[in-house]
Amino acid sequence: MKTKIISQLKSRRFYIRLMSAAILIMSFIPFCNPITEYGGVQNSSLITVMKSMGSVIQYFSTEIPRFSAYSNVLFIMVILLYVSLIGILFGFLLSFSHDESYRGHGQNSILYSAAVMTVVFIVLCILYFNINIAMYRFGSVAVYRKLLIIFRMPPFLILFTVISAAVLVLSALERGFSLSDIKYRIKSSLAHRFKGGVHVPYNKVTSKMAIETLPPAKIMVYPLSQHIGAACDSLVKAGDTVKIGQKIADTDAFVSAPIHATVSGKVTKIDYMPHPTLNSAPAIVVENDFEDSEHESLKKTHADYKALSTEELISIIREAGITGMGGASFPTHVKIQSALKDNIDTLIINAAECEPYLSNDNRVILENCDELIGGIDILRHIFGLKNAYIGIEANKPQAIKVLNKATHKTGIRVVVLRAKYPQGGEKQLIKAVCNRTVPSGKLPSNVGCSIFNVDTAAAIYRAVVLGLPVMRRIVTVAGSGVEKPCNLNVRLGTPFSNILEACGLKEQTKKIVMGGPMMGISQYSLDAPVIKGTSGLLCFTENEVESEKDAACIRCGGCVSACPMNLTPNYIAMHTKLRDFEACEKLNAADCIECGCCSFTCPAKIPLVQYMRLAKQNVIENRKRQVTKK
Amino acid sequence: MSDLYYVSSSPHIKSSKTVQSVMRDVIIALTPALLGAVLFFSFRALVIVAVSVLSCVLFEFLYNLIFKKTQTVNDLSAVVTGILLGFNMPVTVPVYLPVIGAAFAIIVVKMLYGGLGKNIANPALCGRIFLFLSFSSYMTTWVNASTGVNKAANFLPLFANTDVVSSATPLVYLKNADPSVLTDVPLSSAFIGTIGGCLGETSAILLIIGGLYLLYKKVITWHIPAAYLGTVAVITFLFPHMEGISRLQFTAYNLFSGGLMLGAIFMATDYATSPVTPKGRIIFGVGCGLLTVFIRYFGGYPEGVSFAILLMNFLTWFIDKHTIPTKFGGESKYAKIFKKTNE
Repeated sequence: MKTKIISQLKSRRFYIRLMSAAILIMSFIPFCNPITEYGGVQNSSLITVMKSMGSVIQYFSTEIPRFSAYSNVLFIMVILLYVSLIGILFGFLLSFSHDESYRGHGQNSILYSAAVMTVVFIVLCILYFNINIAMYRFGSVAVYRKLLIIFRMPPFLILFTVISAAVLVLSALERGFSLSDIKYRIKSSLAHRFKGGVHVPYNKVTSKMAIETLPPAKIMVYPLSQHIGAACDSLVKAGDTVKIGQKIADTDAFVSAPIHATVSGKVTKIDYMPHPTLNSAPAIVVENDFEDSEHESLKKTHADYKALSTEELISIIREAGITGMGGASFPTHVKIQSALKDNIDTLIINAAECEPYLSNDNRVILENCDELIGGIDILRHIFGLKNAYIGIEANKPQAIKVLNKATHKTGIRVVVLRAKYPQGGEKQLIKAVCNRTVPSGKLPSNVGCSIFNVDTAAAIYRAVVLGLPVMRRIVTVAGSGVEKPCNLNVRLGTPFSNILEACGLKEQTKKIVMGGPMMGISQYSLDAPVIKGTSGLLCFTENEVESEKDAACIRCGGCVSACPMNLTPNYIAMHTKLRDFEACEKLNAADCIECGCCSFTCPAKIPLVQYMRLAKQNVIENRKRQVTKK
Repeated sequence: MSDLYYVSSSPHIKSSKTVQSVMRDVIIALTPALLGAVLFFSFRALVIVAVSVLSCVLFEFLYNLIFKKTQTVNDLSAVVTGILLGFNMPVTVPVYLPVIGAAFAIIVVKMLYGGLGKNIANPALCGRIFLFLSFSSYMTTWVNASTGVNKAANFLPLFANTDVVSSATPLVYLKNADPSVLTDVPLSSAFIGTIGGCLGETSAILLIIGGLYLLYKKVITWHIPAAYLGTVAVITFLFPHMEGISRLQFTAYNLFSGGLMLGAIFMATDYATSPVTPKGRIIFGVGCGLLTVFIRYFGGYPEGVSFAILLMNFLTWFIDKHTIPTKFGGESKYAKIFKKTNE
């Protein structure tokens, strides 16, 4: 109890509440009985307040000639005062709400109302000597004059001014206002915008936590399929010994990337193991001997990469097993080759990180900025481009500062974007960074753009200059089910159970998600390992797990305005329920990017994305069937 | 640690918005107008709104109970319907009128079609029109709030409509092309709400405050109110139907009096009965505006908002079907046609 009171006394919110309550109570003083010399109304408090509001209305309706500029200014001030008082009352009441978003609205309400009120009282202080004259000219509006009485008392006037200014400052601090924050927000509002999207609660608690290194586990699991495209074939047998950096799986297929061992030890078996995205898939299991002996292929450094030809660079990138590190894991060498074929003119680095909770890209920028810039230089060299863009959301001011410093006079431009989900989606990012629209069913390279994730660029630098294949990645571990949220540098192949042991998994955890909460995949087993696309590991406790039943659609149109691809999820879901996939085709269901905006925003809690996926699958299958018929 | 985890499709977080919270926001937005009604029309206004709300909730509850449906009273949509229905009555109506209206609105218009989201017309609006056609004299007896009648209204018997000094609404003046509207019902009182009319519709400013709140909370979008009010403003300004007052005054009277503000902000934006596409919403708003002005100009009634919205309600699905937005990176219909003609 005592600690509770002390913690209350330390929180800003407590003082904001206290002072707004003081303002509210003090605003009643002029309506109380002691001051009746002007009003002559004996009723106190509430009824008088209502009557005085009525007199404001009367001021409008009865044609009082407005004598001087002072009285008009005074009148406007009184109206603003009423408005800000109502605002503070709203905010005060909302600040007790259990709902986070309502508390946020309450905070906003108090902030803006306090700003208005401070301005009002500063103006009244300036007008102080003229208040008498102005009041004198109000004539018949007697009750209304009662409010003005208070302005003739200097202690009240000063007290009100000081308190409202204090509330303003405190609530601005509470909201985390900083000058650079405002600057980047203004900057981001100048960037191009894509239609739709939603504002998600970001919850980036780990963004200020430095990357820690997690020691490898005893048993490491390397699934043969860690990317989009063909699965690899194992190059080792059970019983073989492997070393760090040794290539253990590869294939001749074009769309694929090899896989390397990240520990030294013995291959115990090659068998079906739990897989984070495919449920169960063949994998190489290695027992770690903790000697960390390195393979001879490791560290073929090429500090002077400009001497290498494009083909050589691409083959280095392929051999290093680099795939898109954002989550989709498309093999990078394939992307570079198709981009070269299309002769792209714009290179975009995706640092948006629009998924809530995740902060791994943010940490990469802050801690490995040199590697990132080096990677961009290599990419620019490959494409023969002088310029590049880095798209980053405005909610990462630290990272923007670091990038601005690092990219000074290098031809790389940092584009500050709005904090809005899905800002990091390929098509949305291109729209926001260079205002080009990727035609439906086409790739970014069709409009001359190519996008690489921050971590991918850093991995390219490590592969070319330092000679390191993809063996580690940064994983954000967060959520209410984790005791110590953190950013970890994890070796690929480490089982999830190992990571969560290190971070402390709470007993109440009900759901574990790989990736971000908007597009991540929920896990049924903790034996699944970290793969190349694992950007985060989120644990949710019971109260965050969605268990509400969906209600009927109320046709609010929220999904239509939230959809970044400009579709109509409510109608597509309706036709999917009726199994009318031809209608879904007409409604462009195949263009869905499964970002989850519609499900997120739906007030009836309808799982719209699931309907969209079903529709998309069926539409694409129908199309294939028609092609084969022809 | 339990061994079994929930496995579900993404997204794993959802917004805190629910049907209930949306309806709660609408109720909050209607509160200023309700307080205004009490201030202008005495506490009898509160009684009528309360009876209307209670009977709406009761009818929905009973319907679900009798037909063994899932109980949907929790979503507060019946409360919104009740408040809107109450807002659409003069203060002098006998208290059984809102009960009849609620029965029609909830049972016939809302629940028989399948409940919230399935109804083809706005329940509160249909309730109003039903009462308007059945009990015309009760529904068109206006008292003026500012003339002191409001004090007398406190003492009206609850179950009968007694003789009160009725006063004409500004729209009746406009219908009769009577320029004395300027002195009898000044524009400022039409804006504040101290004029004759239904409970909730008189005060334009309080309704606008509620509308701004809804816009801030993203409960409604700007499309329908802007298109609706914009159309009415443009037509009444370009083609004023009356002499003796200026164009601007005529436009202002048309905007601020009658049910236009209530209709444009709260009735036309009803989710179930308005289009979901942005383009469709603008077409819907323009249609409502045109019909409202036509009824006010050429119809038999001085007021046309409710009929206009009702007629447009029936076109909602049709409008939606033909205004499916062009997908991101797709070609609009017109671009396609243009291409074909070029070929």
